[in-house]
Amino acid sequence: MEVDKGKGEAEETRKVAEADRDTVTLKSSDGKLFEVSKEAAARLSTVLAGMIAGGSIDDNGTDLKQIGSEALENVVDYCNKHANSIPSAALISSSISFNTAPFKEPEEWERKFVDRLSHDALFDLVEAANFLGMERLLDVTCHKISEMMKGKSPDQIREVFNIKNDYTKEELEEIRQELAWAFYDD
Amino acid sequence: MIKDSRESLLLIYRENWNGQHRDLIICKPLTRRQKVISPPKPSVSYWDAIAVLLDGGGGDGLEKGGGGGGDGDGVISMASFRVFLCSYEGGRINACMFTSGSSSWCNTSIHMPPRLFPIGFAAGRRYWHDGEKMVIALDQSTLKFSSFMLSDDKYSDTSMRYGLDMEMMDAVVVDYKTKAVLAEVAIAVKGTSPLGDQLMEVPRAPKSQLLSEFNKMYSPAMGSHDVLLLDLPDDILELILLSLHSPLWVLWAASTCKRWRRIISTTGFIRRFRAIHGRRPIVACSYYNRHGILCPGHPHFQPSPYAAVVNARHFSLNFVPARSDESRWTIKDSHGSLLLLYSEEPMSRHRDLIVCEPLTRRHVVIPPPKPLVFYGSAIAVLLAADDEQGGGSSIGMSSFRVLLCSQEGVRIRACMFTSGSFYWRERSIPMPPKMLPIGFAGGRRYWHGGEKMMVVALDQSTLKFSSFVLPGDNKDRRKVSLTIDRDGKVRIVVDGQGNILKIFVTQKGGGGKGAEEWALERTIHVSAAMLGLPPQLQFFYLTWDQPEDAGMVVRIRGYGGGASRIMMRLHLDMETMEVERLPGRDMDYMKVIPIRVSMASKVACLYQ
Repeated sequence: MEVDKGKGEAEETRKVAEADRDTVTLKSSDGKLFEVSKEAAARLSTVLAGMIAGGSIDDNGTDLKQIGSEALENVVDYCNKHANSIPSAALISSSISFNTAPFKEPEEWERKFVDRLSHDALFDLVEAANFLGMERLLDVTCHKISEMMKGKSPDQIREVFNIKNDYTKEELEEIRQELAWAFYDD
Repeated sequence: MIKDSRESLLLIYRENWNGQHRDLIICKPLTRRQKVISPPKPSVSYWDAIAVLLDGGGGDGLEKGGGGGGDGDGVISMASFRVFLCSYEGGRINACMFTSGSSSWCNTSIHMPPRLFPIGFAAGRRYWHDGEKMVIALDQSTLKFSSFMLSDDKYSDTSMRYGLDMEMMDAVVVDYKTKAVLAEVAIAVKGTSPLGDQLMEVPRAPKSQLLSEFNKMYSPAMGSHDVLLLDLPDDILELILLSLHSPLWVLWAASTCKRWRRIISTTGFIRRFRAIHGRRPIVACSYYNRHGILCPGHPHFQPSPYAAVVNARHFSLNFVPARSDESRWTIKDSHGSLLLLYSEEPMSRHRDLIVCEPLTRRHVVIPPPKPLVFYGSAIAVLLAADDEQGGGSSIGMSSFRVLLCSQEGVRIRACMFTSGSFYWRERSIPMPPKMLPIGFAGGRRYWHGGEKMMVVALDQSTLKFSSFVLPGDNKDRRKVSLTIDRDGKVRIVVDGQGNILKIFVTQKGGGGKGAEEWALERTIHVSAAMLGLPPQLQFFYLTWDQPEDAGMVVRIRGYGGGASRIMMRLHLDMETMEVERLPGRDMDYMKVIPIRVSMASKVACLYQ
């Protein structure tokens, strides 16, 4: 569907076409099967790239026992969206350079992608991205979580993330007093 | 009165007290065109109506735009605009839309509940709620009303109110007694059904878990398989913390629980945080000098609300020794977390110059240069002690430099003191009499003087003087200022007679180390028409403000002729020739001296 977009760039069309032919089947911890473009999987996930290169891909579904079906569905969804959302060579070069410049702001579709996730799904996806070595997805999900923390007081952060306050009153007061020092830069 | 603006158009109205005469006008100040918009029927009090200026609607009007919201891709101009009016009258919400070129308004209304509170505007829709469950939404572009009920009982408590997050298009349910955010629900468009847009409430799992009390109270079963943030491994938590933009938020996170504090205190964290976000310092506190002989003592300070976590006592200057009751310290400059202060007693020969750091309550006395310099009239600048280039290195109590520039007789004298040393490095350059400072830009400080417009520049870092003469006749200059364009190139702007600005720029390849060559780049004739002002405004001056924009900028002040004396400040971007009116008057407010502090390596010792 997005092939049209890349028409100008012969290179892109070729890549996408290749990806269409070539898929990998992944199996979640609860036994569900998902298909993902081999090209996207190899490009986005260091772990999957290693498995593909090392020939440890199972045609009947490569077992990913650590990842639940919901999270895996999101991973696959992300890979496919990513594969489809490369309209120009400019973006390719930027996705390469993101290694040197991490925390490049998420793109619009990536923002939307994580915005629709529930709390649980988001954390699951973070874990899955971490497990699969998907640096970009990890950045995008972590960015989303950090956004939920921005501008919030410690109390509010605890509320949002269900964190128990394990400081004593004295310790907190000490931190508050000492925070000034934290700004000090020598 | 102005109701709204959009791009170059303004929507204004006038209305007399009994509502008999009402005019709604759309105008374009730049071209001085205006159009009276015939009033809707029944007439609407513009004063309390919501009035919004919209673009022309992208082609064929209202009926088409389904999900377009208010921000169609249509253009807005005097020939293509729409005006949206919304008022509450007779138990109904009336919305009407006027499209340019037509002569009548297009009306819709909806029965409104006895009580109605506006929530706000987001994603093309305007929202209201009745204080309970009902929410009414109006699409500004299509004039379509929708109303829906927040399905869950938990939002029906009347002590809650709704707010809209402009970006996320969330309704936020707030208990305003405790000011706590109880829940956030996303209102999403359900899809484009043939009947039109339907809104539905989508409880957001992550955000509805907001308050633990809330969960306990209303939905104990919520979050059956709790995945907690803290279940994630340390390196991921670190990634999350690294994504935070402000060190302040990192510190707040650190005060949340011990685990995060531990992550932040790992040795590499601060280095990585800086690598990503740079050393983006925050203004923790601003100082200003108290004027007037009658109030001796120390300068005032004003902690920045942004750094409210920091105890204000950390910025007190009471640790600075006082020589006598008479003496008072005046701040000359600040850089990073350091301040440069002097105290001069007019009667005695006593002069003190110190560098201090309020946060650590330390100070260093700087020995006076010989011969002495009057600190009060000299330019005194606090610099980082760097070895090679202008930027980069950080400033601290053990690495700073102080630059003093004074005009003595027929010379400009520059002295530099480096922390840890005991003497001043000195340079001077002969100058024509009556040299005036221009300002500081691109690492250099400039002066001008003499009939032929000689300019002296001093590189603050290397203490190297250069002097050159600007070409042309600049005898009648009124004001000289500096601008820095978007590439960091410095230009000298001479404001001459006849409202002509001459812009000079260095010549490239002017022979390396030889004398600098500056050439006239272009001239700008400043006129009322150019600035979009009525022609009776005739006089323009560069103000004394140094442009702080990265862009190439001058500020201009105009006076109207006759009895009505108009003063305004305009911001002229000389690169794009865009003009913007600045608010407020060009007053010489007390100079504010900020203290900027950045996140520290000290945080590591702190969090152990």
